[in-house]
Amino acid sequence: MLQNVRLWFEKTGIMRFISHLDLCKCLTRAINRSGITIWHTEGFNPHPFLTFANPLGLGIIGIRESFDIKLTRETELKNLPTAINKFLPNNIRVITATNLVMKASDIESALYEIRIFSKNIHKKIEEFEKILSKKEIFAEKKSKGNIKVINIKDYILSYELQSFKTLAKLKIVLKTGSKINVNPFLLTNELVKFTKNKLYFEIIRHKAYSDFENKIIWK
Amino acid sequence: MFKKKVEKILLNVQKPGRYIGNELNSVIKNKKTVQIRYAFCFPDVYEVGMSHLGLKILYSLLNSQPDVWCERVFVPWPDMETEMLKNKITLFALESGDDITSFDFIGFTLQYELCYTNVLNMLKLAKVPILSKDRKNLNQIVMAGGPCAYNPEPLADFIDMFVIGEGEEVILEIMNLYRECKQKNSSREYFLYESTKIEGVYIPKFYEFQYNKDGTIKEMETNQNVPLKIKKRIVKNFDKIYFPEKFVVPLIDIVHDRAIVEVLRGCIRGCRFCQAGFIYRPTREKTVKNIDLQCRNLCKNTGYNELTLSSLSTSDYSNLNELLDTLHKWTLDEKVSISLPSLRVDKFSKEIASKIKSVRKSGLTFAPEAGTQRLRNVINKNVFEEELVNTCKIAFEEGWTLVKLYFMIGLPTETQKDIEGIANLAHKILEVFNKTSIKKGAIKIAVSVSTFVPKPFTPFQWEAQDDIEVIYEKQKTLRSCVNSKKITLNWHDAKSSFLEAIFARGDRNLCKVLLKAFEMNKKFDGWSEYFDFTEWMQIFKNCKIDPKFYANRKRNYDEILPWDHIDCSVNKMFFERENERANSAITTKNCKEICENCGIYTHKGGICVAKR
Repeated sequence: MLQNVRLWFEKTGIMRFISHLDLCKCLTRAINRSGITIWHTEGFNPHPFLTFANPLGLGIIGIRESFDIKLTRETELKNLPTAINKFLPNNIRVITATNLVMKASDIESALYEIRIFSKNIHKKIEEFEKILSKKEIFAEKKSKGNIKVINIKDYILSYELQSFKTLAKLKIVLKTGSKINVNPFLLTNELVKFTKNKLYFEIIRHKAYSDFENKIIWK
Repeated sequence: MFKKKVEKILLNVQKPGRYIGNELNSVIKNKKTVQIRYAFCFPDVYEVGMSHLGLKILYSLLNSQPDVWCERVFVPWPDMETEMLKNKITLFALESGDDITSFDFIGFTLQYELCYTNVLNMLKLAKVPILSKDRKNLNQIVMAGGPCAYNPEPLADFIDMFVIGEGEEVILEIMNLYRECKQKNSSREYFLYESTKIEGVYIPKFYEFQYNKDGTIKEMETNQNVPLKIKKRIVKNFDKIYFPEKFVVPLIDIVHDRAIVEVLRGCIRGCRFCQAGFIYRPTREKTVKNIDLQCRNLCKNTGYNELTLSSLSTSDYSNLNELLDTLHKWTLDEKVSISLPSLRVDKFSKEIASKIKSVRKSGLTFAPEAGTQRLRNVINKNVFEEELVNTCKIAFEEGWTLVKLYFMIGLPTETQKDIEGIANLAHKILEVFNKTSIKKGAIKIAVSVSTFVPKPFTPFQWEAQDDIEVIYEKQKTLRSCVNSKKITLNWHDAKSSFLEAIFARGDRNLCKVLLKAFEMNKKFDGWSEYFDFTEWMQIFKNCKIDPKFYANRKRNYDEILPWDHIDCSVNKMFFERENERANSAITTKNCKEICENCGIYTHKGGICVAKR
């Protein structure tokens, strides 16, 4: 009997600069070395099976990310994180292991925190606010070699802008998932374009929702 | 620890993972407790440099010294370089993120001649003075080793210290001397002078060259009490040689992303074009037990499930079958696949074939190097056509469908017939496939043709390289001889082989060419997208240096060669004899069959002791 397990992990700091594919390889190797035996795909070139509900874009920090594996030997869930973490580089860390509660397709949206750094940030807040309250924010989205123009506003479920001494924080819930998805960098690019300013961003994905209106967190 | 300034530009460049370090098994030390900071510089991008075994060995070895911290540095890709310059970021070490400007050592490994401009560019990005004479303090010691260091002269103005031969022992001796000098507050000059007493160390600034009117060397002289011949270093007891238990495991895809264990060093063969075959002599092997242990350690500590048994010619390993059986005791269960690079055509058997294909089946690569038996005799590649045919038969029966064949054109004595021979051989193998394999039509024969580059310390070191136009003619001939879609032809660009030939056998006069090229912003010459031949020819013209003098001129035996002061322990007389034999297409037996007295016996290592 295969045991389905969902592993929750974080990808922080400098590690946000490795791609999804490289992250995959890194986790696979760590699992291999931990001695945990997982199901391999069958066929001409069998490989360890890991599946990600919602891959994280390059450059984005994630603090509640997940992937699923199938264990070939029954194992206590609470032992898994320590076993794997021993073989992971800094800033990638498995936090906990759970059963699969929801399906990947249940993901509807995700909460992002966009930290905006710039000189005289407090003067720029108004500008950001102006852009965000527009009816339409058009952006070019590349997918499979095609470029298509989308209205980012269609993807925003909620947002909140806060100003601090040296930075502004934009907490924003964006539609997310395998069918409808938008990369927050599309929005930050537009902020740069509109304000014509030198801005630097750090983006953190906090969690995914299956139903944002009713505040149901995906798990 | 990692600089915010760097983080800010990383999303503006391709593959930011190249610049972040933080890999598993990378070594972090406390700056306050180390005495010697060593920047191990590989003059190419991360993906290439991280695939290099020498780096992994010396990195671990240096870091095994508690007071030495060796860190890795690679060349930033031009998009990153632009960002770094724009944001005033100095070249930094991957482990600490620190600028390498004031490191004690800045060490380069020279694997190919076309990286020389990258070496200079790295110094610039590191804010280290380009010219050796402009560096004054007891730090910023710019070192270089690797195969190209055997002809150090084209880089003599830039490098303070060359290390000739194997680094495993000599590098620690250099560290010891430096540590002593640092504690005594000695001068840079004193350290460099004292280091000439270490065997294998060459300090170019203590030597000068006089030239004849025709541009050849008149003599090399020195006014200091330093050795006139610099003898290469070898490690006698190869089985006991240092080998790392861990590799840094890269986070991004690199060229060779796997565990590599060196099973033997040197080569018994003596192919006359091959520099590695002579400079790494004598042949020395590790024991099966030792290799097995090193493989286990590496796989355990890295998580790799691919393992390469590396050497110049792994099928020449004396106990290959025993080794594979020993490894299979654990590799099969742990789903680790084993690959053997550089298989020899005459050494391939059904037994080996079945042992290496156990997990994954990639293509097979063989290097007949020349198209006819006569020319193969000239280059002393002791391989026969029927062996190649037999080998391919076995491979096809075992299910392989991709065969890669490596050839060279422009070899000494080559004729039209030899060129046609390359095509004939490929067609013959296609025929063998059609007769043996059941997978009809699935075959792919990839023929890869490079241009012969004469190298120092080979019997062909006196030979002229074919002119580029001649090479193009020969390529055209070959193309017209191939008439099957199953056979694909690949060329190595003849122009970059020409540049390689110039620097491979260049003298100290080429330093000014390199300096000029560096000022013209040349870099990544080994990458076709950055290689600009016209610009290079312009640089030679501006420097009033004829590149053909170095590449296309046949030299006399009595000419003083720019590398004559380097002693690779194989006699010049032996190379002369081999060159004569090549002219008459006479082959020479390999070291296992008979000792041909090449001179390397003086080191009393490996096969020399066993055979005499």
